Amino acid sequence: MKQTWFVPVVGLLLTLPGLTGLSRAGEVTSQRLVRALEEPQNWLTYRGDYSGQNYRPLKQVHKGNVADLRVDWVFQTGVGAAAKFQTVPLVVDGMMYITAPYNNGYALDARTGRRLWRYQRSLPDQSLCCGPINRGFALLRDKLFMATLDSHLVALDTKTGNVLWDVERADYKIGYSSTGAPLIVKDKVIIGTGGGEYGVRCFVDAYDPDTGKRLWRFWTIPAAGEPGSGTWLGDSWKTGGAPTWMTGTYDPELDLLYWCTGNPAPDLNGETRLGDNLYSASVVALDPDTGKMKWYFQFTPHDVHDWDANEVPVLLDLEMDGKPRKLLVQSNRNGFYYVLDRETGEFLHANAVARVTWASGIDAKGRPMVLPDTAPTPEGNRQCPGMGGGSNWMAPSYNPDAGLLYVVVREECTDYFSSEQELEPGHFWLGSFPRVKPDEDTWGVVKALVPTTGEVKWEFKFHTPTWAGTLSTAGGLVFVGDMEGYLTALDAHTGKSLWRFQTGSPITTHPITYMLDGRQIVAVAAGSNLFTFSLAP
Amino acid sequence: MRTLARRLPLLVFAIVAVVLGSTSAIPALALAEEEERKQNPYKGNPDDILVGKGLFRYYCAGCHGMEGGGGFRGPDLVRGRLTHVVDDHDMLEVVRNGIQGTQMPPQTLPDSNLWRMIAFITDLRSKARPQELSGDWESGREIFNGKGFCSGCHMVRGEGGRFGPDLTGLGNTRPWESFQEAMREPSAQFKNVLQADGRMAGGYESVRLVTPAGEQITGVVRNEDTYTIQVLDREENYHSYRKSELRELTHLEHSLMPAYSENALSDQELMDLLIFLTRPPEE
Repeated sequence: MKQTWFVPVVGLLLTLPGLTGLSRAGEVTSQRLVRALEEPQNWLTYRGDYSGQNYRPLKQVHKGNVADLRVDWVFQTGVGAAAKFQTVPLVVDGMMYITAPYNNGYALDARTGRRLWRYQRSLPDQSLCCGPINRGFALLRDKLFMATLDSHLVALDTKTGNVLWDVERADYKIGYSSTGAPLIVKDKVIIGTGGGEYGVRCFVDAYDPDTGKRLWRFWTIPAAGEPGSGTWLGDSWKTGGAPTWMTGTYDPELDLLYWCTGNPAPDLNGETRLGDNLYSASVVALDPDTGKMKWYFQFTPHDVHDWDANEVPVLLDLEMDGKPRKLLVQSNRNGFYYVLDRETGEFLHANAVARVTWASGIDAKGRPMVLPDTAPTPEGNRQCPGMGGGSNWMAPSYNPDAGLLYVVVREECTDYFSSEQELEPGHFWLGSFPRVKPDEDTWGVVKALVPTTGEVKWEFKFHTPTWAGTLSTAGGLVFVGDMEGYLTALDAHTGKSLWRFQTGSPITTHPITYMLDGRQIVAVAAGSNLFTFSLAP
Repeated sequence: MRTLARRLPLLVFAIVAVVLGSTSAIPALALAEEEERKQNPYKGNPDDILVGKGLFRYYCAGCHGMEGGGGFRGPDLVRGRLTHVVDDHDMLEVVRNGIQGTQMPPQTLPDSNLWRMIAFITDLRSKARPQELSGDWESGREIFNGKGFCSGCHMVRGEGGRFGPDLTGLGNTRPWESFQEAMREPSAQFKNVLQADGRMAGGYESVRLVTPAGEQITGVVRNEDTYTIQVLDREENYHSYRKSELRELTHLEHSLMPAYSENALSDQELMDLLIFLTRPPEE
């Protein structure tokens, strides 16, 4: 009797995973994402886990043997876009999922690099912001989620690449576009938007993973009458940008979602948008269930240098001034490194990590002390950091054994020009045309910081300012790419270069690492190819 | 010519319409629109020229130089003969669509901004006075191979050295004044060769290095990255080193091209030389 009762009930449960939130065996659930670091064989989110530390407790590959790392396989997408292959693969139990420029998507057999399916999106014939890039999928249960250049969100079936749903988020024709990887939090697909150079008002959205229904939208600029709206002159809030083009991080204990915002628009001319321009160039802490803001911190009030704060914020639990604190740290595009309390948003510390000419420092409340005559001018005003920022969106990483945070810094300065410019929907609206650097040397550098003080323990210099991020491992290694195509492994404690491989193309993303069949794999996208590396079996 | 040929059918249509006594305003209107499209609305306006200058520096200067005077990849737009352009409207189309078969890419800016960039360039062009080339091709050939010592480093139409850039057809993209400056003060143009990412374009940057064995080498950088450097020396030998193993590595602030004073080569001799570089012998 018991058996006849048991079978249909279990059968019913197995057929209703989507409705009940239950999953089939092996499927990635929100609960698994919370404990992502307990799955060393996988890489489940854009930054590996919710903390954004880009760290893996894997040490099969270590300082002593990294010199023997060699290529496992190469997957050639054939999608040509030099320096635009910014994907970060997701790896789940022997499967690998990658996106590629122009909103292509692939499932690969992680063992061989052979393609299992391909998704190709037909895109409108319009130049969309900042190149045809995409930074990767998000994954939940049997679905992959991709935010598209034409501002849609699509759900693909993991087994086939079939489109399960496709929703329009905003109008790409007036400048909304998406390039970042979504983040899954509590069975919601969270995703930001680009558009800071197009004079649109930006937001962060949450969607139902099963239907594509929008559950909430947080506008990064308050509407007239809302708190903070007085920080925008007149109607400038309607076209004020504050984009959210990177991915956020999440603290499951505090149940807070952290998302960062970019420049106010127009980028380099602040005359028409006088005020602090909240919540541009900020980090906001949101309730993931409702999208309601709990706190914010603005790094650059009234930014006029395109100092987006979009770098994924890193969550660290460390002792500071003798007491344990829940920290949020960011190496900002404005040239300063920041430490905040992530429960309250309280400012704790900042110091310069790049050459800074626009501010003398950060005051006790976290506000930059802006120097006179540093804003862009019609004749051009040389300031540092340059237009690419001190840091930018290149992934930092943290190594708990070394107690060091690895940030990527671009050492360059820019002639910042400003001018009046009318907004033409769907077109670049910078309020200026700046950017060719003065005739002086530029370089890139990885800096190892003590995260609570910003003290620099070591530096590794690149020939050219790099757009690649870092990965750190328990093997005492920091992996990072450069613009001349090298993937490098640095000693996490000293910064010494221990291994390198020439990929043949600029690297503009961060590597990942995972275990497969008992072997540690390092993977990175470069050019139009995805490379995997391991020690010889 | 190209432009006229393209507009001819429209013109014919307009004339036919007038001859037939058509009351339709469409052909005349179309013609008016065509005429209007040719005009740059920002031409000569100092404010727009300044905006155009900023635009140009962002989008174009990586190849064409900060002042439009030409770079490693892009020709001189100020004093050069523009082979794809007759008037402002052509320039708009070239900037908007790029030039197939060349490294000139399309730009997706709104027309208003493209016009402002063009206003900047046409303003510079109106102030530049290109000089008519007149000289002796045969004399130029003798200078190139003889007293100028050019052929030791440069190639023209498949003959000559490989240390410096190939100079075949130089006068088609470099005007006389630019060539004159390059000969008299080669280092003055040296720093203008910037890539879009701010670095020097390959081919001109020069270094002096000391090898692990103590040998000193001076040459042009064909590649440099975080770890390695590859240099072509005067004897046209390639050298490849790990930068960490070099005893010394100095990036030179001047061009390896020698300066030619008026005593060494007169302006007339330079002009002869440019004529030789620019075209093959006349049959």
